[in-house]
Amino acid sequence: MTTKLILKKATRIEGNADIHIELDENRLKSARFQVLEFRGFEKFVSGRRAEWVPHMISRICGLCSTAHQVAGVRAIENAIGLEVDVRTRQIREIMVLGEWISSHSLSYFFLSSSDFMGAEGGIFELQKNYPETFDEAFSLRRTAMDLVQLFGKRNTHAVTLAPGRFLNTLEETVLTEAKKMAASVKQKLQTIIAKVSERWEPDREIEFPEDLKVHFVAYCDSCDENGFFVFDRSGRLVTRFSDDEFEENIAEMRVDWSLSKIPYLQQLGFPDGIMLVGPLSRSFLENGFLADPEIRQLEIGKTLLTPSGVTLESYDACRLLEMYWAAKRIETLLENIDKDESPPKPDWEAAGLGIGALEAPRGLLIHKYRVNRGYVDKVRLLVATQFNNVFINLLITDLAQRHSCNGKLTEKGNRLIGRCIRLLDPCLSCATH
Amino acid sequence: MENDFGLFGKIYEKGEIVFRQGDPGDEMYIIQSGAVEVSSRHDGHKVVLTILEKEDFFGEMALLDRSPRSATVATITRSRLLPLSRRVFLKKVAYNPDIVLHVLKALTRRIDRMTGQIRAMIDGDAELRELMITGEHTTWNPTHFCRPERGGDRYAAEKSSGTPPSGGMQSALAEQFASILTFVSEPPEEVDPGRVIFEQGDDGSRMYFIEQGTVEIYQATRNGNLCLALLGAGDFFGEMSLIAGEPRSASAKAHSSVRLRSIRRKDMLTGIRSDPETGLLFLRILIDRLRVLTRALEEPQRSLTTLRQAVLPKFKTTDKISIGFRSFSSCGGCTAMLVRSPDELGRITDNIRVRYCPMLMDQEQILETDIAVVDGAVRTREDEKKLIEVRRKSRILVAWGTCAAFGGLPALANAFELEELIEETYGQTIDPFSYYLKGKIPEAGRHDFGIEEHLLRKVRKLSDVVKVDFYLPGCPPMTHRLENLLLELKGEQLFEGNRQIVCSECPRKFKKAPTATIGVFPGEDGSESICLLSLGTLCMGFLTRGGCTATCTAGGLPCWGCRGPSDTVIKKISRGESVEEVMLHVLARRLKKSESEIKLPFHTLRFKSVSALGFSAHFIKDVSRIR
Repeated sequence: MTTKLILKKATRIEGNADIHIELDENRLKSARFQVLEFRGFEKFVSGRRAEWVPHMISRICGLCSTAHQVAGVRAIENAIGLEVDVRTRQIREIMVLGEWISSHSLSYFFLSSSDFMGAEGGIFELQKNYPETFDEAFSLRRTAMDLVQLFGKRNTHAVTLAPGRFLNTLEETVLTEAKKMAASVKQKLQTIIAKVSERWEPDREIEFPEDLKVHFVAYCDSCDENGFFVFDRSGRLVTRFSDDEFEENIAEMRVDWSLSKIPYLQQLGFPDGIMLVGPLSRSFLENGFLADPEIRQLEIGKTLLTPSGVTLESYDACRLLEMYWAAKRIETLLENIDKDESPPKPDWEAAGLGIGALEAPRGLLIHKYRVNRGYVDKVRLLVATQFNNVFINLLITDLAQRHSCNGKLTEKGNRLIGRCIRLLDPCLSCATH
Repeated sequence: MENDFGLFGKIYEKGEIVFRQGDPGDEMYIIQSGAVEVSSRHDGHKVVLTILEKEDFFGEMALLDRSPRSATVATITRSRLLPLSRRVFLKKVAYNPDIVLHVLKALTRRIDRMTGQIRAMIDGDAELRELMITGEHTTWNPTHFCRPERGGDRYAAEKSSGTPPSGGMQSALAEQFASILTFVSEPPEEVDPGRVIFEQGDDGSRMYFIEQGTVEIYQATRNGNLCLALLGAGDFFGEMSLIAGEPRSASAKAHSSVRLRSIRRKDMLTGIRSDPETGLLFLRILIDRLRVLTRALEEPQRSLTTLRQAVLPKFKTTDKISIGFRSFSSCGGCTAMLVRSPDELGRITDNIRVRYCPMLMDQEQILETDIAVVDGAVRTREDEKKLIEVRRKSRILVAWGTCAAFGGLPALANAFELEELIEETYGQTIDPFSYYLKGKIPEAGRHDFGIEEHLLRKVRKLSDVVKVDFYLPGCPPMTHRLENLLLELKGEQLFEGNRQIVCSECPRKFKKAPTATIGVFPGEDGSESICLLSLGTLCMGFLTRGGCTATCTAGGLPCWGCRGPSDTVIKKISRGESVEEVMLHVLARRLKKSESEIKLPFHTLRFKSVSALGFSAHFIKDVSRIR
């Protein structure tokens, strides 16, 4: 019996990964999503000045750099017991939400769109063929990036974040400008969502593998008690745990064919404890975007709320709705922005362990630092794609099984594998850091 | 003054130095009697390059431009040397064109000699032979050949002194060719892919100018065909036999479908007679070839690409240039910068065909392109292999972003051993469930990932692995720099370098009052309009190349040097000072403190924070390549 190997590069995603499928004559031998990057941030960031660490660690990912910075700053603050004023926290939230919009729009319009619009040349071809659609998409992404830039002074790898404070004073004009931008983003999204609703029909080609339990994990920092929430597929809360308990609840393992580690819920073990993070998980949160009455009224929102509505393809819908929700949330935050206070003075003589968790565009992001007299001397990172990585593997296995015959992967199978990877919007620089 | 020597040159006594390496070049010399020795200095050692005798000449670059001398020339006997300035040379050529032919012939003889040396070297080195003949770097081991410090320096020095900034000069060359083509009577010739245009040993009576397509120049050696160069539209070949009137020294065949214009010997002579500048054009061609051969002899591992770029490839504005984007170990931010606004993307892809960009389109292969834009550092063996493939398939390679240009943050890993990095990241994750996906339980204490085989021991910047043509550092890099570079390559714009430092763009004002404390991060009382340095924060702006509009310092974060050292710093480093010395010295002067006072915070900045100027001690020293 001959074994056939199909090896291709995953395209239209952030980073380098191979799809590796081994087929015997009539059955699947193995299918893997191999992440092939590694930089070793945990090691070379250790032992450096605490204030600089968030700015270094943001280089893990150029698409969600602000999320990494905020997580880093939070971890340091928690480690040295620094209480941050409301205003700074609000600004950070605005920046992260702005990044949600820019990252989601990149994923939805520029990376995934060829899947449903069909263009081999990707965005370069689409831009030429559908200039109007893409002008809209571009202006959405541009405005979101400009919004981040307004507060962060740069749209990628912002420069204004520091433990306990914001390095720049915010003038009234900046806030007015930001309000305008948020309003324009919101309005653009309204039009786009209306357009998409007209021809929204999930084709259900990619299903959750039946024999698999999947848990959805999201972090909430605006709920009554901060913490991690674990939901099942129907959106029922399975368990919750606080920041301090995360290491008892989440374990990681490694495999010999991918450089990305695989986290799972320790209490459920593997594979029952496989987690999914990202927009779909956030939709289950009690103050997530699906809790918004306006979004619940939208056609797409309604579909998501029905018990059979949650499919893997809901990811795209979730991204759209979440962008809209983020724009609204930014507006609210800007309306209620707190007064300027003098920042607290960090005690750099202190030492301690701190966790900085938040929802990055692609999902749960956890930084855990050990800070000692102004230096970060130990770092542990759990990044969104890491969680989803194992699920992508199982999904590919499932699809390859269903769509292969005579030792070959069908055309459809090929397309669906690409599509399912992009649905989960992996960022492989993040996954391995 | 110029005519003072007439045809009777100036007498130099034995041991007299005619000119030194680095002197400005304004004249070439013809040896009427005696002999000279040409030498250059490397690491304080004198290396004699060649000895020239009666009827030979040197310093011929001076006829083309006033770039600094690349070597020192001293007489070894009492000699009579005839200096010739460009003006005098042209005047003489006007009524005696044969003088050009004489110089040209002498140059072809030198080229022949060097080609012979290269062949001998290739025949004697099995590994190199394999590498050059197949064009595949299967057995390629970077550590084997790499001599980054010395080789790099010499290469850079030679480049900066020799080749003028591309664009202007090159398009001028193409224009001059067009002027020769006006008196070429023959119509263009179409050649099908794979057809041989001429073979080694053929009688050479004409040279060719490529209007369209790619031509491969190769030589038969004992061990198979040796590819010397791949030439594209705007390039020319066959000039050697044309000038020397000798049989072809190499064969040429069409690589793709090609359209050629041929120039006959008769046409060339008419050209030189009617316009002496044409003679200089041919001189330039040969000198460029000679320089490439010299480089090939010095650094055989790079010769595949340098030979190909015998003359820097030219693009015609009318042609559609192809471009490819590829990321290695990076954060993806560089590529993401491309999709920010339709205008920006439009300006980049305007008249340019994007052939591959894995992040944004479904083309996973690396295809042949005119330009390849590469971001990210080289971390894995896969990266390395692919980078070499990108190099082989592109005419111009651009390092896009700090990681690609200098190694960036990933290169901070080079302070550690690979095992330490792996241990830190994967060490704590030994887990009983691993077997589920793995099939077997990992042996205790052993990281059975294949990860050690997959990763390189050290992170490399692109230029450690292949030759890089242009550097666009920045974290993230600014898209308008890429736009400008593309315009420059198309010949629509001239090189505008950033000679300025970051401070020149920074809105903060320097305050004279000295500060008591020095830190590495702005203190709580950081005022918004005062220079971070004068507030006692070590900000790298004054050492760093500008062109970033100082967004970091304006936002409140001290500059950490992502654009790399400024011209002045590069000059100092080239002179042999270490990066650390230069930084410490200038910092002390700026802060009006003694070096010992700032040594500690400086050390913290460099080794315990994010100072990019600490990424690597070996920066690119060829300023004309950085944008």
